[in-house]
Amino acid sequence: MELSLNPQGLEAVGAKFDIERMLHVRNMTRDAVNAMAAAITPGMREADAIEAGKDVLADSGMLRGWHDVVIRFGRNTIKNYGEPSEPDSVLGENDIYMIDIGPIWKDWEGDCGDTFVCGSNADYARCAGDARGVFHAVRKYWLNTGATGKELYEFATEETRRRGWELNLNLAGHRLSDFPHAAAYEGLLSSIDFKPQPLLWVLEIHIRHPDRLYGAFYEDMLLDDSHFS
Amino acid sequence: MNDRQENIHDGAIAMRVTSLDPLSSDVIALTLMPAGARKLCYSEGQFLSLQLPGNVMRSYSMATTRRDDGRVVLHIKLRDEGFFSRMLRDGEVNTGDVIFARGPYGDCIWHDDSPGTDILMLATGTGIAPLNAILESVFRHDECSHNIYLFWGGSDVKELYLHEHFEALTARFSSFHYMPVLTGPFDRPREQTLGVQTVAATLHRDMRKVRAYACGAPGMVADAQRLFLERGLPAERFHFDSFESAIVHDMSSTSTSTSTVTVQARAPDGVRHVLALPEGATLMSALSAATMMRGVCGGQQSCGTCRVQLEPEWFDRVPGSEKTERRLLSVLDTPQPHHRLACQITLTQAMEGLSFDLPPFAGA
Repeated sequence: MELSLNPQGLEAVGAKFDIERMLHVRNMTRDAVNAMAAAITPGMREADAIEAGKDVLADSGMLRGWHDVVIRFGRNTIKNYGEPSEPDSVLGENDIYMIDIGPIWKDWEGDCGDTFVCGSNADYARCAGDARGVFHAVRKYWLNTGATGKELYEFATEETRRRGWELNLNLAGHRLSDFPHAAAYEGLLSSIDFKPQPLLWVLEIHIRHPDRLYGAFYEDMLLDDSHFS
Repeated sequence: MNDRQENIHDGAIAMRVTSLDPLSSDVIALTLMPAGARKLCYSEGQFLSLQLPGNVMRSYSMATTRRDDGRVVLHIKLRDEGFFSRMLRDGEVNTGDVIFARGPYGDCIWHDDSPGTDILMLATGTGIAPLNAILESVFRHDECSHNIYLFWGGSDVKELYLHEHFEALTARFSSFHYMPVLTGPFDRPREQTLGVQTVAATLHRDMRKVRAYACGAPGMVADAQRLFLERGLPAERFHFDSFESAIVHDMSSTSTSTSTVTVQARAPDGVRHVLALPEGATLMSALSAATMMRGVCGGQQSCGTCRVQLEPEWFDRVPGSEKTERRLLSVLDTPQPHHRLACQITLTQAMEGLSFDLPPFAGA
């Protein structure tokens, strides 16, 4: 992977930046999300799922994070980042839930989000699938064009609408780096007017039903197809 | 005095100016007496913060030993751009005026030691003030059981405004040794001048049985710490107060709160900052607003970049931590018993004078 690393500017990285380590932490983060999801079962309280998620991270040496563990059940899946969940949320037999973690492993940041369903609700399953679908559609648009961050999210908005959902532009991507990326740029991917480089940015896709109280979330680094199975 | 002024002075001690005496061409002694029932009870070596117009705070060390009548003497260096310096030069401070003071702060105070321990004291400029207070206390009645070596640096003996006093002290007490260190202007490059820290380190090559105090220019303090630790000085026996002009920050204007809580934060470079932070804010948010901390996760108890080390006496006075905070603290590098997350400390008047060490600025 070839990166043009500038010590200044929005794509700046720190002294500890390392491509292989960033990819390694990406894999660890994805594995942690899947392990958390596997431990979540109907009847579980959202708050208990978060604690169990922290146990998973602690086992991997990733309890420290550049943002908190976010797990949302049911109607809480429409909430914005930082918005408190409705209290006492319990996962139903047919339900949807999302996980978003931003751990720090040693000196490197990870970030991963995904949505899962339990039971047989087809609408929930389609929502979760479309979050991933929009992600990959935008990612391929990024791969194949010179689209800027702004243009990526214009494309994402249209792709989401085409599938029947609404895109939440408050969760519109961000930097990732050796910790803390905040030293370089704390703004949104959707605000940049140049084509983002691979590995340095996370594409966030948060979609919501236009009328009903559920949504889905998917995020991962902007990378080429070889990094996705 | 209206309600807002009363709020501003909540917890402060009213002091009356009794004299302003020049000590040198650019240092004056400001003498204060209690104007009300409260006195400033301090340990020699500590400092206070004066609350000046516009809620500007300026810190100065007490320059004399504590007295029953509550008298406080401060040595003020008149700086060209200094806020209080300008007030003094312009005649805005006169005998009879009441000034409010907060404190005392600081831990550069006398420590009892085992026999055979030598005491090194280093000062530049008005850094001599807290050391003079300590020496007045130590030599109040009799010889000290330790040898005390005072190194005071200046470009000219005229800058050493207590020079004759210390020469007399040397003549009177065999345990006191005074060495002025004059840096010029001499006919040699500046980089060849020796600072007090270099002279002290040259004369005391083995510091395993030394306790050191360094007060004055931040560069001198930092260099002294490095040199002395290299010579075997135990880290816990290096006490310091870095004097840097105008490093007191008033953040009350960034908040709708009219009440502030004064805290003292020691940065990793040793410089001590006295800050007036808005009551009701978390310590992290207030320090972030003052650009002294980067709380990366925004107070979610996730990143640990707001971890501070409280002074031991404050650790038990601040409301205790919850499980989430303790869990994160336990996984951070080099945990210490008095670590807390600043995002979990809400500033109240009960924390007036809160003292802590700042972490390195994340990502700097």
